[in-house]
Amino acid sequence: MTTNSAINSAIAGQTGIKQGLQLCKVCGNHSPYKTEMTHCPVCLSRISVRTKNSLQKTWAFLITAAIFIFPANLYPITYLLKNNIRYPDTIFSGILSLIESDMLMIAIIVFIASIVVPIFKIMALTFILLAIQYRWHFSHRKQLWIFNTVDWIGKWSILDLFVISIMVAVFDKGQLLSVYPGIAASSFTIVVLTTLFAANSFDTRLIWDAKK
Amino acid sequence: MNEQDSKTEATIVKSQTISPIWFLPAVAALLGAWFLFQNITHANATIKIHFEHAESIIVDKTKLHYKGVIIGTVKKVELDATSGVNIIAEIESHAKFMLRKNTKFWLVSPKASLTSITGLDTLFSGSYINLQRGEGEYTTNFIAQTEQPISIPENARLINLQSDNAGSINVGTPLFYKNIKVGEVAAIRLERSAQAVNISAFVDGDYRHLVKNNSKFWNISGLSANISPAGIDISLNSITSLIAGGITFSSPEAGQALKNDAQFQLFNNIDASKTGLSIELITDNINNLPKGAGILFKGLGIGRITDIQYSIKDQQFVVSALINPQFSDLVTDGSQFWIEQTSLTFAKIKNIGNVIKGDYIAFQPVDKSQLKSREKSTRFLIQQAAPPKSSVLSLVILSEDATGLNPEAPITYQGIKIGRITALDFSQKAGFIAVHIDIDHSYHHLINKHSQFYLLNGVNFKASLKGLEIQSTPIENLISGGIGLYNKKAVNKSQTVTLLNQDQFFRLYPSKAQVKVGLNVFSKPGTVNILSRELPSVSEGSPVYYRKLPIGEVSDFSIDNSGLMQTTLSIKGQYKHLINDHSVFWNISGFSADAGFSGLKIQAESLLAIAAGGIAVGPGDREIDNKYSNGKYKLFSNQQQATTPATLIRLTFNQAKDLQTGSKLRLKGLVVGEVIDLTLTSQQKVQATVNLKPEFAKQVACKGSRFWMVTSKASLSGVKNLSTLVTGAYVNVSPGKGIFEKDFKGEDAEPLLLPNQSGLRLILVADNAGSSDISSPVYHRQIQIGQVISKRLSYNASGVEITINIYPKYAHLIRQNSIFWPASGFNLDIGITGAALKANSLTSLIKGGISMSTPDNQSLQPESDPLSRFQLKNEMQKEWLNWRLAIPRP
Repeated sequence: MTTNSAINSAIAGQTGIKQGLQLCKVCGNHSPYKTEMTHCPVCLSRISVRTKNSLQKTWAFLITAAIFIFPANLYPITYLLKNNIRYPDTIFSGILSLIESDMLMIAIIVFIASIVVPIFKIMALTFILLAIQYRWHFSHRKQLWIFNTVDWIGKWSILDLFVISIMVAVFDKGQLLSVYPGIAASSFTIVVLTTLFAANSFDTRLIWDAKK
Repeated sequence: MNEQDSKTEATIVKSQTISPIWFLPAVAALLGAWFLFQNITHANATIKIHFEHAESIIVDKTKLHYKGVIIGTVKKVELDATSGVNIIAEIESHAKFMLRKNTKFWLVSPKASLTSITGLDTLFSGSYINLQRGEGEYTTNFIAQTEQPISIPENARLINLQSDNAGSINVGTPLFYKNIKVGEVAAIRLERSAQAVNISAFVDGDYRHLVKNNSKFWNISGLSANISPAGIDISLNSITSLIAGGITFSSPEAGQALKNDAQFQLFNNIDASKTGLSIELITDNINNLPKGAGILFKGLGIGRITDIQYSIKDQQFVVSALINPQFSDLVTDGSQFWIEQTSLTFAKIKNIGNVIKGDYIAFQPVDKSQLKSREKSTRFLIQQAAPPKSSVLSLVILSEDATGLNPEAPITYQGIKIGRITALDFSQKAGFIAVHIDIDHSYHHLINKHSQFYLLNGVNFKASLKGLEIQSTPIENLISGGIGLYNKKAVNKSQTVTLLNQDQFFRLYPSKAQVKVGLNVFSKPGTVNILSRELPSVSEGSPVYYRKLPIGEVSDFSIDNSGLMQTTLSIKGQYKHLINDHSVFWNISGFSADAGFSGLKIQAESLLAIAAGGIAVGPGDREIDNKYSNGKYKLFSNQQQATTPATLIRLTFNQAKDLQTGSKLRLKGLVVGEVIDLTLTSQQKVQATVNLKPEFAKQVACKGSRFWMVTSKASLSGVKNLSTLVTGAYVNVSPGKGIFEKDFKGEDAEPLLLPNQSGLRLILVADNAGSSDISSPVYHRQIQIGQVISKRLSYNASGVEITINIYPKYAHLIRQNSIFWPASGFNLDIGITGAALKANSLTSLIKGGISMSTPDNQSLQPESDPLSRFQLKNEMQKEWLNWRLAIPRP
């Protein structure tokens, strides 16, 4: 009963804290905010008004990602061993060679998935975090939209790693022709993982807290 | 509301705890810093190399190698403002230290030449730029070499050779010393003045000491320079040099090893080098010797004839020749030269190539040990033939016949050629041929005074029942013959002493087998005359054996004065002593077969004896009368007669049946004698003369012995003495115990009353013989207790008398009232229920027999007396079978 009334009484555009409500991130149920309440009365999953240390965690993951995105792009991501000679390929040189081989569409996909998306994610999250911390006047709705986009697009950047793992498995003919991953592959994996964790540890409710 | 307000207004204290998650960016930052540091300190160097052309260089693909390690990648190719191209390459940081002023770069691409194939790997991996380290300051601008710089192996000695022209010399052309590749040409350049060619070559470290300050180098390349009828240089030099050229050099002992790299002149050929030792050879006749003919030492060309002049003054040819300096040390006083000509003999075809190439001169230096003490000489006389090999051992072998011997035919020892026949002539010893042989130096130790030589000829043919063995000497011997050496004792090489008398001569044995016999082979054969009533089935040449050793042969047949046939035997000299007064001779023609169930045993003296017959001789006993009255030997018909004083007994049989000469006399299965004769007596009986083995004579030839013939017998009840089917009938004997006797009466069948088969004999009187047959069983309660021995018509033919013998242990069963009936056949009862067949036993069904029983309704009667007569009932009555009389054992 209380729940229903609480939902009914929830006012859009105001934080839950102000309305004495807290959201269960699992089942989406609003329950009255009580300090002693640690679990959602509906689904019994852990519940809190705000995720603890959300900003810190997000920042930490983000910084890690930001550091690793450099080796991920500058170092060779794969090595092609052909006739006993090693040809290294960075992500970018791979895209260039795709363009050279007249595979523009694939090049664009790889470019977006491997370069644009990770950088965009990092930049977008950084922007949101800064906006919260310095209470910038920027549409909270748009901030949320940006975050949701980052969250959705995040899983696609793992595409590159799939391609590498398949290539390593398929091209294994010893000295004649084989492919193996380079340092950038590990770095890229770290970038993808840390951005995913960053997005996951970010509490969207903080966007609204920053609203004056 | 108030409550709510107060709650909302409660100050929220932000927790100031630092999340442990910050550890992650801290580590990332450290790693990033490390990467950065690495990048800054290990930055790749970018260099610029100037190339004539950029053929097969691909940006980002073409690598830079140093000793097989990839140290960089071509990053950019740009055209040079003036000429050629500049290649911008990135050198990995760890290889930066090699970027020195004198570092050389060149492009490696596949290249195949006659001598080598290089850069084969680039066929697949593409060309690459190779680098050779140099000294100097650090720089990043280089000019590439047009071709691979001379790469000299470590420790190699670099030599600069100057030549008029490059000839067929190329980079990679090998440098030979005594036909062993010791180095190669590294570079060829035209001298600045363009008057000469500078050739850089190196000699590998292992051979660098061979280059002396007075070494001379000359070109041995190609065919054109050295073509001659004999074609020596083609054989002298390797096929590599034939195709790709080559350089060789001399290394005089007098010279001193070089300390530094040096400059030499390269001559076009050995003549030009004038290093050869000039010699003069004098001869009367140059035969087919062409100018330019080779001088060969053990097949290796060591020099060449340069000129042939005729000296009118001396009426001689003077042949000028040049000896290869490598071999000039061998040419000393005492060296021998001779012309090798084509020779065609059956023993060998020699130097057939000379027919085309012309003859050549062969060379033989003095012995190694004397080489140093001899003085050098340059003038020699050409011998007409090859000199005898150094200290060959010349021997003379005496033979009666030169058949199968030819000059040049080999002397072999255990199949190895150790010498040759040099000549054949008539010996001073009348009637002999002297065979002169030479034994090679290295085989001297094989010859001692006990050595024997035998004629090796053609095919040895050995036939036995095992198979045919043909042993053929090499085809060479088949045609030209040869001599084999035989040493009784194995010869050790360390035995240097040859126990040879100065003028010892050897005899040539006709075959190896006779060698083993010894010199007796050559002593005169002896003759022996033997007499026989008929000629043995031998022919002239049939062998005479002594204990299976052929010791002679049949030589003649004639009729002796006494009317007997005389066979003359020729006994080989070495066996003459075997014939003495007591010798006995016997005929061994054909073979004797001993067949038994154990197998067939064929004994023949030899295959030859089977085919040609033969006569054997052996030592005889003094008791044997081995001679006729005129003193000549008797020929016995077999060994037994010849060697054993016979104990003969005579057996008289009614008929001979299967008996024949050779049939055995056996005692309990053991052969104790043999029928040697069968004759018909005046009483129309067969008299067999049996030769008893001496050891059994006393036991067998005594009064009371009984002899009977044993032949195979097959009846339904069994097969007896089947072995006689194969081996023939034999005579069995049961020895008696009386005094010695010679004449016996033989029995046709086994005697009935043998001591070991005694029993109770009864006579059954029957109307007819029924199915009872001899040896048919007599049953009591189906147990055989005796057997039928004989049956015959009664005296007046009113019935049949069947004699049965009851085995002793069953004799007490026969009582005076016992009843006998025929047990044979079977009873057939046919009723409504069917037919019942009753037979006593399967044996009786087939073989017949007699059953016996004793009535139990009377008191026990006394035992039957021997030879009692009983009536044999015609039919059995059933009640007889129910009698259960108990008969106690006596």
